[in-house]
Formats: sequence, structure tokens, C-alpha cells
Amino acid sequence: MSQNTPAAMSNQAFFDAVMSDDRGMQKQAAENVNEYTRVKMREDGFLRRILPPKPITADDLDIQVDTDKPVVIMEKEPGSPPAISVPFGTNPLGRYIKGSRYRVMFGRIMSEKFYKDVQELMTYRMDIRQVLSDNSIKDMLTEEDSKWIHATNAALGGAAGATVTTTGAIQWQEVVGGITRANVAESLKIMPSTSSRLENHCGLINNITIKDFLKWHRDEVGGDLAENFLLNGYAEQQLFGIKFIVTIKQDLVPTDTVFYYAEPKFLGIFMTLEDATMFMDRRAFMVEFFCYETIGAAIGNTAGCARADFVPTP
Amino acid sequence: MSTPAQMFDHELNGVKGFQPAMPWIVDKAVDLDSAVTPGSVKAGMVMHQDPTSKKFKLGAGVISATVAQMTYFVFQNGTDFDVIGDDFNLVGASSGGQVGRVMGVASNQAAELETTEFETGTYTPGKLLIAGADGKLENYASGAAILLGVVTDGVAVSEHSNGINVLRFHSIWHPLFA
Repeated sequence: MSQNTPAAMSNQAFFDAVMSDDRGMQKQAAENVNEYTRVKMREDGFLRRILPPKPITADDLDIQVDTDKPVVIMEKEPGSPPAISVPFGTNPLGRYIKGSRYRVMFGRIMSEKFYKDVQELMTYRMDIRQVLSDNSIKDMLTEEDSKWIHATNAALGGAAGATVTTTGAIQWQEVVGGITRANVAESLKIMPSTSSRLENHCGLINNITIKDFLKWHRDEVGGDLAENFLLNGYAEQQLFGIKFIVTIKQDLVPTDTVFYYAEPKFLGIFMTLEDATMFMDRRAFMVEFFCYETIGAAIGNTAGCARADFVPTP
Repeated sequence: MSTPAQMFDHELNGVKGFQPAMPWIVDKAVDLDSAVTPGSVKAGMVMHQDPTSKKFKLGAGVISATVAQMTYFVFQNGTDFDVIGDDFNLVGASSGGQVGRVMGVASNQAAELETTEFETGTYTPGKLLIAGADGKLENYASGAAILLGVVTDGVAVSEHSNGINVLRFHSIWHPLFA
């Protein structure tokens, strides 16, 4: 790699590339890399587990007249009127075909640009560049998640009890009485109760709320699961036939709240025009890098999400 | 028949010194203030950070004896797809909330610019420019104001269309107090 040529490369390649030359960028001993004190827990994004991203290329973009911003137009399944019973000799009702579409816009998410004199970099025993770049990727995933939760809440009408315009149903409901087996089962009825009759495919819950599940007794969850809870605590659990994704992002997924999502094909689309990428440049004794990605995602079907807030009995 | 909107109907173009995302450019990406209608924000307009909300509003803001807002030339339209999205898209400052975030170039940088957003008038070289409350450039007349441009070549026809004029000027930032 040229010393002064900017290059976009993967996260792992960044490390390898910088280390491949011998201009003061000496790799610390491997045993030192992980010996530092963490101050904040980070995790991968949950959006990518709810709606797996689909990589696209320029060929997939739909060209517009009035803008050169990237756009993809998605088609939706058309609604169909119900069949009716008629007496003999009756003509069928007419319906001119019109389809439904929605646009997926793309935006960029990027980290801050980190820069440092390589001589000062030598004084860190941990690989601070690797730590910063890893955390930057996770921070970008958090931004994705944040946008997803905002979009979900907006799709659900913005508040508990709101009627979703497109479905005519209340899909953000308060369930009184806390997190009991009966109440969680009750919350599972929200999404299938819309006219689309979609089933819950996954639930999203935070790491505080999931601990209430651990309180369930053997007679509530059954012997094997109760024993598993007792011995191993929680993990990504299959409960009530759906996958519960557990997140530590309590600022996005509040305690005592569960989001439910339908299968991706009923929910929307998540596309990566340029997936998470590390840009690195080195000029003489200065090194700089930042991460960025270009993504587009949209909830194409508001019937594919629901939210339950478990509130105490008044 | 009508002419469809084009991407160059409103624009900020860097003639010298300004090129988006270059290391020497001091830009700022800020949410639009809730009082600003996204459709009223056009590329090439002037915006400032509201002192209370810290979000972008059109124009140069209020100047007082001790306060003058930094002004920015906006690079995107307020309704561009990377600024604000259709419902439930994940672009913009707050998806679903329909809050747009635009990028502006600080006017205190040395750059020669072209903008489509200016009031009708006579713009001869050396004329000092200010921004109206709608974010469009206009000639300075008198009184307290933030000077944010000096006319260089004046008005010219856009390279993209005979029906569009651009004003070419040099960016500055100089508050004049009453």
C-alpha cells in the first residue's frame, strides 16, 4: 500500500495493512492487545437480526428525474377485495388494477475521524486504533438501531393507544399487570389481530426486562426451561414459538417493553449500498481513519410490527 | 405539460475553495429547527443555528451588541432524500419523526461560491451581501447585519439551464453592529 494513498478497506484489512509497513507502526505483542479496562458495554446491532441487510449495487437503484440521490422503489402486494356470493346471471364487480409502491431512501452513517501522531501512538500498550475502530462499527450499528426504533414508534402511531392509520388497528398497547406468562401471551395477540393477520416472528426486549422472565416458576414455563433459566440465565430465547432478541440498549428499548416484528418479507427491506467500511490514510507521521456506511431501510408494512408496554396494576 | 423539477433548480456550487467533504472544509450537519418547513430550505440558502434550539433556521438570525450567529450556506435541499425520508425510512436525523438534517458550509471560509438563492437586484463586483429572513442573499443597505459575501462576478446564467440564474460571490463573515 502506498504510504500516501487513501484506501477504503475492511476493518480487518485496516489492521493488517497498517501493520504491513515498517515505519514506526509496530504491532504490540498480542498478549497486550486485550489488556485494558472497558468502561462501556457495546453490542452488535439488533436491526440486522430483525431485518437482515441485503447488499445492492448501482444496478439496483431506480433513477429519478429530479434528484441524483440513490433510491430503490419497492412494490407491495396489492390488496384484493373479498369475493362475494351472487345470484345466477350476475356480472362481476369491476376493479381496475393499481399497485402500491414505496421508496427506500439511502443515507450515510459515519464515525468521527480519528487522527494521531504515530510516535504518540507507540506509547499505548493496547491497540487503541483497533479498539476505536471496533467501537466505531458498533456505534454505527447503534445509530441504525436508533433509527429503526424511531421508525417503528412512528409506524405505530407514536404513542400507546394510537390507531395506526394504514391498518386501522391499535398496535402499541399497554398490558396491565406486569410481565407474567399470561400477559406476555396476551401481548402476542396484538399483531395477529390486525386485518393482515401476521404472526410474530421475533420479539425485541432489553436485558432488564428479560430478567423478569427468570422469575417465572416451574409451573409457568415448564420443567426444562425453568431449569435452564435457573442454571444459565437468559440468552437469545425461543419462547412462545418466537425468537426473543435481547439487547442492552435500554435507551432504545425501554424496560418493561417488548417490540414484536413479523417475518422480514412481511415487514420491509434493509439494503446496504456500501456496508460498513474503514477509510484509512497515513501521511508521514500522521495516521487517520474513520468508518462509514450507506444504507437504506424502510418499514414497508406497518402491520408487521407491534409494541407492548407492560405496566403495573394501578 | 410542465417541466419537471430538476436537481439543479436550487444549488450551491463551489467555484474556488469549496468542495464537499474535503479535509479543509469546515461544514456542519445540523437538524432543521421544528419551526422550519423542510420544503422551504433550498440548497444555496443561508442558515444559522438558533441560540435556543441549536438547530438550523433560515437567515442570519438576530444580531445584538454581543451576539452574532455564524452563518452557513446550505448544500442540500430540505427535502432531499438523504435529508428527510418518506414515512418510516431510516434517513434523516430522526426517522419516522420526519426531522431533516442538512449540511452547511460556514461562511467565514475563503471560497468563491455560486448560489441560485438570491433576491432580484443589481449585483456588481464589490457589493456586500447579507441574508434575508427567507435565507436568500440580498444587497446590504444599512444598519446592523452580518455581512456574509462580497459579489465577484455577479449574476450569470446557470450552466445547467437558461432559465436559472446564479450569483457568484466570495464568502465572508463580518458582523456590523448598530
